[in-house]
Amino acid sequence: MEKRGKREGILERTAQVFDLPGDVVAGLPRIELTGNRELRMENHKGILAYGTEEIHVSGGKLVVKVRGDGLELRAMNASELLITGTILGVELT
Amino acid sequence: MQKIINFLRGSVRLEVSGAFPERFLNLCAQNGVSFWAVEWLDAGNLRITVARKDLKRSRALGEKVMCEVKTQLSRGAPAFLARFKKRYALLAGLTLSLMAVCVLSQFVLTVEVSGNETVSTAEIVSQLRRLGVRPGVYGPGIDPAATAQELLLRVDGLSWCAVNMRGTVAEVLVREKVEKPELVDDKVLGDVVARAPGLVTDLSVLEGEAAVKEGDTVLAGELLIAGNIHIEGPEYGEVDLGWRRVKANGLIYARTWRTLEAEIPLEARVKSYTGEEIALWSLNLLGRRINFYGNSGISFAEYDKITNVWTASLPGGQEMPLSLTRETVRAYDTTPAPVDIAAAEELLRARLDEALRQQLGSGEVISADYTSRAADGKLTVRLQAECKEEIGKFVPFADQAQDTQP
Repeated sequence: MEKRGKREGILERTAQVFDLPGDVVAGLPRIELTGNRELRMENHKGILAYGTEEIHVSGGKLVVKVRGDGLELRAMNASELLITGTILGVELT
Repeated sequence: MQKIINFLRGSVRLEVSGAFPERFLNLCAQNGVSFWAVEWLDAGNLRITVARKDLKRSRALGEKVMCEVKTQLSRGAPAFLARFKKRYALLAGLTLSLMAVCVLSQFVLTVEVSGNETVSTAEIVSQLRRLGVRPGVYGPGIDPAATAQELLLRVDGLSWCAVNMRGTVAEVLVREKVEKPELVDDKVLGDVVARAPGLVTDLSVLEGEAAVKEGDTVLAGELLIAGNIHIEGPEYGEVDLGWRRVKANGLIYARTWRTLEAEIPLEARVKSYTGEEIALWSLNLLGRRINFYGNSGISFAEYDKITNVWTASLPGGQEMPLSLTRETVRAYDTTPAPVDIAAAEELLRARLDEALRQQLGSGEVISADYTSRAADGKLTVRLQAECKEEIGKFVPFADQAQDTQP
């Protein structure tokens, strides 16, 4: 586990040094927000908590907390997910 | 579009219960089980919708993460069709219907004849029946070309014929012969004589020599225009030029008087139904008649037979070779009863008018006078009409020899 974390750290730095996209090289989560109605996330690691006002998604090292009203997990597969509703905030922890 | 696809492939609403239902969602996402419409009920329960084909995998994944997966609702076309899975009678009916469609479409159900005006459809259909083209016959067994040829030989008035097989319909197209026009033979010589007696009012001679003049009275058969013309020689000459023979032609109009008479008995026998009645039912299927009354005969001495036929037809009006027939046989007695004189007179007048019209042809009636008389158990109506008509009638010479020279 520790080894994997180190590897990810190296890849992340490599991407930074060589100015390469981190989501491609290091598999970092990529979040795309369309207005306040739609949030698309790539390279997620799964749902941690789910509710209409808050959805927690694992992004590997960090947790993405999406807050809003009437949130809904519209679609999800192994690498991508789509959250719709009125998004009021996105918090990274 | 997505809704249509989901409907076609079917979807299942699942309720997932367990300690960590979000793990179930993650596992589904990792294993390629697509889901949508996630509804979080509480910390340990959620509802999702998955494609029908992923139901088994979802259950297996649920077991892996210690979640109970319950099917709440099945939607879409597969779920709808699955309802009929155990309806054996319906499936058997469907199979039989399909078989019936496949088998029956090989047989002729209707024979359509078109293109005929003077030759009756009944005559053509009757000949076709003799040639083996009738409702109920096996379609591929018909040779359209040979049938068309044979039909032309059998029906006189046809000049062309084609038999087309269109599914269950045998379409017979015909064209009729054009009647040969009546040729007037100018070589036949003769006179024009009176067809009926009358007073000549107008004459126009086109060929020949007028034998009468306006105001003359003629009898039937009297010569009106002579076809034998005597050629006068030169004045004071002694040479006789002889006779010239032509085909007399012309229009001779005359006033004619016609008397017609018609009579009717003053007493007639009228029917009175006795109330006895028998209904004979029969079914006509593919040209075959099936009687439901066995061999029971009709015992009434005098009876009326009223036939009602109900034929099955398609929504477009196309008649099918299936009909139900009811023949109602009503017994009656006849009793003498007096005839209504006014009605009888009206009837006789109409008959006389019709007879006069037929005699006159293109002529016209100037005045008509009716007299009626009831005597000896009969009502007699007499019509005396003054008419204007063309009375000339061509009569050929018995001897067709040409001009005669002295």
